[in-house]
Amino acid sequence: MTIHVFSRTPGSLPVRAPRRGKAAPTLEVRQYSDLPDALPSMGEGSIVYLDLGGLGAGARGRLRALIARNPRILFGIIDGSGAVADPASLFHAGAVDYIGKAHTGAVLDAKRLAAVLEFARGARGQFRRAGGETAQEPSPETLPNGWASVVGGREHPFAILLVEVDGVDELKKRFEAGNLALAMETFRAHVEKIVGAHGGRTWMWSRFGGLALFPLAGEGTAPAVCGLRLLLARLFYDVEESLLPGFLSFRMALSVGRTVYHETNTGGIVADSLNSIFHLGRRFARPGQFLLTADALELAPPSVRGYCVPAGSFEGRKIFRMTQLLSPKPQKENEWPEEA
Amino acid sequence: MKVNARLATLFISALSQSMPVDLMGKVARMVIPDYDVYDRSGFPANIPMPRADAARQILGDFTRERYFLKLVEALIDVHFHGDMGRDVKISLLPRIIAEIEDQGYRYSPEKGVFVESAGRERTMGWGTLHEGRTYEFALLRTDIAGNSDLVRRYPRGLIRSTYGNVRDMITRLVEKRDGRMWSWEGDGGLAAFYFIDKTIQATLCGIEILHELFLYNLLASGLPEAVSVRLAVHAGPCRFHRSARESAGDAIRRVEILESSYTVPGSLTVSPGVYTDLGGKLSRFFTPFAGPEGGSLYRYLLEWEPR
Repeated sequence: MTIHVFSRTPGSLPVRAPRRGKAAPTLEVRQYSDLPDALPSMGEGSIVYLDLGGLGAGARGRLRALIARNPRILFGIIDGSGAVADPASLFHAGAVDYIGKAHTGAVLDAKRLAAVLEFARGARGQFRRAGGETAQEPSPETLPNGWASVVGGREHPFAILLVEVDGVDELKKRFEAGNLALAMETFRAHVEKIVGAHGGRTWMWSRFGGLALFPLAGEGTAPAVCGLRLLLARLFYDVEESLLPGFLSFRMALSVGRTVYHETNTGGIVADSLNSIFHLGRRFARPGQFLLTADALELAPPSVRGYCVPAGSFEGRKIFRMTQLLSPKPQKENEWPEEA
Repeated sequence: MKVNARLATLFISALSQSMPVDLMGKVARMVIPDYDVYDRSGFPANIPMPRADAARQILGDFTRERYFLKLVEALIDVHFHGDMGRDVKISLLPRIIAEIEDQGYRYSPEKGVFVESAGRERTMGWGTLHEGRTYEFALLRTDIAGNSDLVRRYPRGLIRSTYGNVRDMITRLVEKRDGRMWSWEGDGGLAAFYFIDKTIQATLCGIEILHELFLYNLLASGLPEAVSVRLAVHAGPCRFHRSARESAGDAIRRVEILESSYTVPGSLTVSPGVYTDLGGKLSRFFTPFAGPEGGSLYRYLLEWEPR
């Protein structure tokens, strides 16, 4: 990941770059004179630190206005001399990090950036919801040529399917980390195979689950059918592919929304649609369930809609649930035989 | 399969370079238990037979009796596992296998046999079974439920295309698991599974047919009502014939009875013998019910929570 730093004195920054490593971000330090040209070409979620060193009050005020005008960029402030009397005002304008005088010499490493991104996801999502802007997703346009229409670094409409293994804590207790990692790889491969067959791609995948994206094309019936097929294929995964001795439970949530697409380096992407699907899957869905938002349900074939029932509302959106498959019988969150 | 001159030369060279005559006889008896190369050739048993002559005799006998592929499978087994703890390496073996594969077969290490390669026409006996011999099979019987009603209620063309789609789907799922459709008559058919895990493969195939048919009804069928099938799996010995009508055995009769008399539409029934082969995970998906003579049968039913 690249962090863009703009400074009047690039040679004497009060922050340090991290030591080189696989996950270490790269600092790209430039003069303020480059800022007007650089900013428009940056994708949503790019991280930019502004060094206030050597700037007067007027320039600092203009930077605050710049932050407020560019909500798609994640701004951090480096204030090595403690010139800002009220750092909170920067956050009110939309900044997501502040490195003050007391932290001169701080390292802009992966750990700090992870905290910044987590803060940005939470804060921005909540601020916008409070304003009511995302109570309903905007009507999506379509991508008639599917993935061929998707351009890296640009925002597109997608159907977004969250797939996440249930009972992760229990799994971690029961199985050795290496074996569990291998087992989860087989799960990912299983999901990828089915998602791929329906024109989707797995994305932002961590050890125990992740997202699948389907470019919204035409009537867009594939994502709901894909979820249904994942439910039906669970038996075959457990019996033929899984490395675990018992049955693996997973939950799914499907919605429609817009996000910037990068094939890799997805850590910096911030989008309401992503916050929303993670919240729906993690906070509202119960183990083994497949939930759909109203807009996702609308895109499903009518015959599939017939298998969905209302499941209440969440964050201002109507939610539906795919009825449970009774064979196999519904099980408790990950059921394991005694000998496991 | 045809043993051409190049393959014959390779085989004779490989055998005579790699093992003495007594071991050749032993390998041959892995396929034909009473095989005796001296007896077949008329060579006096008290005089050592030249290796090349023994190899040539064995080749001729096994080709004539259509056991050549089985003999090469036995050679592969000896090459990789030795003989009574003794290491035996068969020279030219990779070239022999390549020559056979050029004729449309592929060696399956998991199954330990040559089978028809993907591009070749699939035969009922996987290119490896012998006409008239008895083998252990897992049999999957399929039948479209309520056929007479459907035929009466809907136009012939619609029924024909729907049944054609169902038949194609079942054939695809059977062959995906290395099974073979032995017969199909109008509204149902018989599929056979022969190789390792055959009962599990037949059972999973049955379950997959139920799942795929559910999706077909939901998304693709032109009929106003759902097409439903009755499925049954039973395993047992059966005499193999390329004509399915001639293939005979109690196992075929039994699987037909399981399907027609004990299976409800939209479900799969397996016999007790098949059920015990399924293992802890797969058997959990089946529920027992009363079968013939006070015994139990086992059912898989694709069921959804009431809406």
